[in-house]
Amino acid sequence: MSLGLPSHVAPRTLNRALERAGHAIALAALISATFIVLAFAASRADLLLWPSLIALACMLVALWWVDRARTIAAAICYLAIGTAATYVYVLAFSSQLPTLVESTVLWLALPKIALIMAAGVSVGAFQALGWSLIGYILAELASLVALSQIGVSAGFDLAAFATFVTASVVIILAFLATNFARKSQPKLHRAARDEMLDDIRSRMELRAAALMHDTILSHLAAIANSTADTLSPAQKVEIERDLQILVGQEWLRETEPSAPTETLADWRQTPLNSAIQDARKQGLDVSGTGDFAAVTRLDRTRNTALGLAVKQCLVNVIRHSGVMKAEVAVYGSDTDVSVMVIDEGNGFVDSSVGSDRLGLRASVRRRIEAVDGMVQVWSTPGTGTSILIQLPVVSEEHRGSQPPQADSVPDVAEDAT
Amino acid sequence: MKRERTRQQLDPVGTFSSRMTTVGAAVGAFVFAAIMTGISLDESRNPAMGVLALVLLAISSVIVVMASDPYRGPFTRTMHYAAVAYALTAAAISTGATWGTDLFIQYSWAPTSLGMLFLAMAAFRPAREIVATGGLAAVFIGFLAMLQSRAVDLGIPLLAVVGIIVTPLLALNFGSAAFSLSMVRSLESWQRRTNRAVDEMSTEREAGIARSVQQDRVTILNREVMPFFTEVLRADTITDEDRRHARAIADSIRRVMVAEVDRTWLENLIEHLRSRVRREGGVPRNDRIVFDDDHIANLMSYDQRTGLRALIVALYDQSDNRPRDLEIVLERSGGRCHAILSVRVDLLDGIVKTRFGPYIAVLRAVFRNLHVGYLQSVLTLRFSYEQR
Repeated sequence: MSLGLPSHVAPRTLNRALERAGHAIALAALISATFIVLAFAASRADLLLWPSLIALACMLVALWWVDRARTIAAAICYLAIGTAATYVYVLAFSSQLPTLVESTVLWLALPKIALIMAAGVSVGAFQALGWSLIGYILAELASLVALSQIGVSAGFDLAAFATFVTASVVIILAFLATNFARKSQPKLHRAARDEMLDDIRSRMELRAAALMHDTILSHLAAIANSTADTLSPAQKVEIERDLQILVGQEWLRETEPSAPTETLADWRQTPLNSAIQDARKQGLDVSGTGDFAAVTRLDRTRNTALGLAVKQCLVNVIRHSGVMKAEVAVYGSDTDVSVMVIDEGNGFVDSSVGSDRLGLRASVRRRIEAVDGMVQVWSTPGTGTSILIQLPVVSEEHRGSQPPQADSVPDVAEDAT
Repeated sequence: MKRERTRQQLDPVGTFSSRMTTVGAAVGAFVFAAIMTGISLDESRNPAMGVLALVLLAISSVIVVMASDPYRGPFTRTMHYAAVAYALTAAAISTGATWGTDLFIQYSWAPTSLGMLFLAMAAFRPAREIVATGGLAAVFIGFLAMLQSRAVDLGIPLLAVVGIIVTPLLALNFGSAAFSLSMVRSLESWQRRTNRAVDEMSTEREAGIARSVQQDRVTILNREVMPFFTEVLRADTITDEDRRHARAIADSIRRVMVAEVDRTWLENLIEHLRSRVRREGGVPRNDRIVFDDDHIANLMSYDQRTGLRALIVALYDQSDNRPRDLEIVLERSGGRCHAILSVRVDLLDGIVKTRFGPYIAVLRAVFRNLHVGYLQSVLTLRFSYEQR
C-alpha cells in the first residue's frame, strides 16, 4: 500500500489523469463521428460528406500530437485545427442533411465534444476550466457561423453544453477532493514514518535484550550458582570479553553488511553446528538426526538466528532439565526448514516466569519471529521438553509493504567457540 | 490480500476524498434518466415500463454508492457486475417504453447513465475490468438501438443510429478507464520512488537509533552490573555475598526484560500517547486499553500497523488525548487473529464519517473483513488478519 501522493505531487498527477481522460473521451467522440459519417456516406451515395472526414482526420492528428507533446503550442494548435475542422464538419453535414440537423442538433455535437474535452495542458483547476471554456466557445462559434452560412437554423445544442458543464463539475470536484485529502495525508505519512522508526528501534531493543540475556544474565547465573570460590580463567576471559563488547560501539550495528542473504555451502560451517559443538564441549550429549544439509538452504541472517536460538535451547537443557542428553532433529521441506530440540528432562510449566521462560521468549521466540519464523514449545513436567523452530526458505521481499530487513544478529556466540 | 491495481488500493485517502464525485456521478446517472423519462413520458407508448426501468437504475446507483463507502464494504468485482447488470436490464426495459417512436435517439438515457456509473466506479475497479464491461454494455446497447431503429423508419442509416447512441457510453467508459490507469501508473511510480527513499532514510536512522538504544543499555549496565563484575574480577574470589548480589541483579534485569519482551508495538503506542497527557501536565487515565494476552499485535504487517496507528493517533487527537471508553481486544481463533476496536465518539454522524473516513479507507485497503459500525455514539471496528 502506498499512502497516496503527498500534497505537492497530487495536483500534478490529478491534472495528468484528467487530461488523459479528456483525450480518451475526445478520441471516442471523433472515432464515433467518423463511423457515423461513413455510415451515412455508405447508405446514400449522393451525399458529399468527404470534407467532414478530412476534418475529422485532421482533428485526430492534432489530438494525437497534444497527447504526446503536452505543450501549450500543441494545445493552441489543437484548438485552431479543431475550430476549423468543426466549421467544415458542420458545413458539410448540415448542407447535405439539413432536415436531420434541424430536427436533432445532436448529430453535430461530436466534434464539439472533442474540442471541449481535449485542449488543456494545465496546472490546477482554473487552467483546466479555462481550456474547457475556450474549447466550448470556439466550437459553438464555428458551428454558428457554418449554420448561418447554410441558412439552417438548429436548436440549442444541449449535448455540447451538458458536456461542458459536466466536465467543469468533475474538474472542480476533483480539486476540492485533493484539498480535503491534504488534511489527513500528513497524519498518515507521519504514522508511516513513526512505524518505521518504531520497527527499527524494537528490532534493536530485541537484539539488545537477546544479547544481554545470553551474556550478562548467563554470567550472573554462573556466579550465583558457582560452588567454587574463584572464577575459572576461562570464565574470567569470557566475562571480560562480553563486557567489552557490550560497552563497545558496534554490537547493535551490522556485523556482516556484505551478504546477509548468502547461503552457506557446508552445513558444518553453519551456526547451528557451532551451537551443537559448543553444547557438546560443555558435556551435553547431543545426537543429531534428520537432514542437516537442509539448513544450508536458509540465508545467512536466518542461519545466524537459528544457531543462536538452538544454542539457547541447549543451554536450557544443560541448566534446567536435569539430564545431559538432547536430540536435535532437522527436517527440510520445499518451503521451510524445521529444527526440533528434544530432551527427556524435568520439563516446565508454561505460566512460570522463571529464567528459562525468559530465555525462551527473548533469545528464542522473538529472534526467530523477527526473521519470519515460528516457534512452538511443548513441555510436560516430569516427562520432557520439545521445542520446534520453523524457518521459511524463501525470503519474503514485499517491497513497499515492509521496512527493510537489513539487520543480522551479531555473531558474538560464534566467537565464543 | 490480493492487490488490485485500482486507485482505491493505492490511494485510499484520495479515493475517499473523491467521494463527492463518486456519489455525484451515481446519483447524476439516476437524475439524468429521471429527467429524460419525465420529458418523454407523454409521448411514450408504455410509461409503466419507463418507470420500472428507473427503479432498476436506482438500484444500480444505490449499489455503486454503498459499495464505494469505506464504512460499508469493499467494492468487489461482484458489485461491479451487479451494478452493470441492473443498469443493462433497466436499459432493455426502457426500450420498451420508447418502442416504435422516434424518441429513442434523443431521449434514450441508458448510454449516458451507464457511462456515468462507470465514471463513479472508475477509482474502484481495475481499468481492464471497466473497459471489458463497458465494451459488453456497448454491444448490448447497440443491439437494442438496432432493434429500435428497425421498428421505426427514420431514414437514417442503422449504423449511424447505433453510433450516435453508443457514443456517450463508450466515451465515458474510456475516459474513466484512462483516468484510473493514469492514476494507478503515477501512484505505482511514486511508490517505487518513495521505497527507495525509505530504504535510504532507514539506513541513516538506524545508526542514530542504535546509538540511542546502546546508551540506554549502557546506563543500566554502568549503574549496577559493571561495578559488580569489575569487583568480582578484581577480587578473584566469589563470596556468598557476591552470589546473593549476582542473584539480585539478575532478578531485577529479568523483571525489566520480561516486561519489555512482552510488550507489543500497540501497547508501546498507547503508552506513548498516554505520556502526551503527562507532558501537558495532566494525569492520564490508567484504565486498560489493550487486551492482547497472546501478544498477537506483533503479527500484523507493516501496512496494517501503520493504518491502525494512524487511526488511533487520530482518535487521541480528536478527543484531546482522552478518548472515552477506548478498548482494543485481540484474540486468536481458527488460524486467524481477530481484533475489535471500540471507542465512544460524541459527534454528529456525518462529521464522524467525514473525519475518520480517510483512516477507515486506509484500513479497508490493508485489512480483509473490516466491519465498521457507528451506533449510539460508539464507533466499532472489527477486522481480522492472518498470522504472518
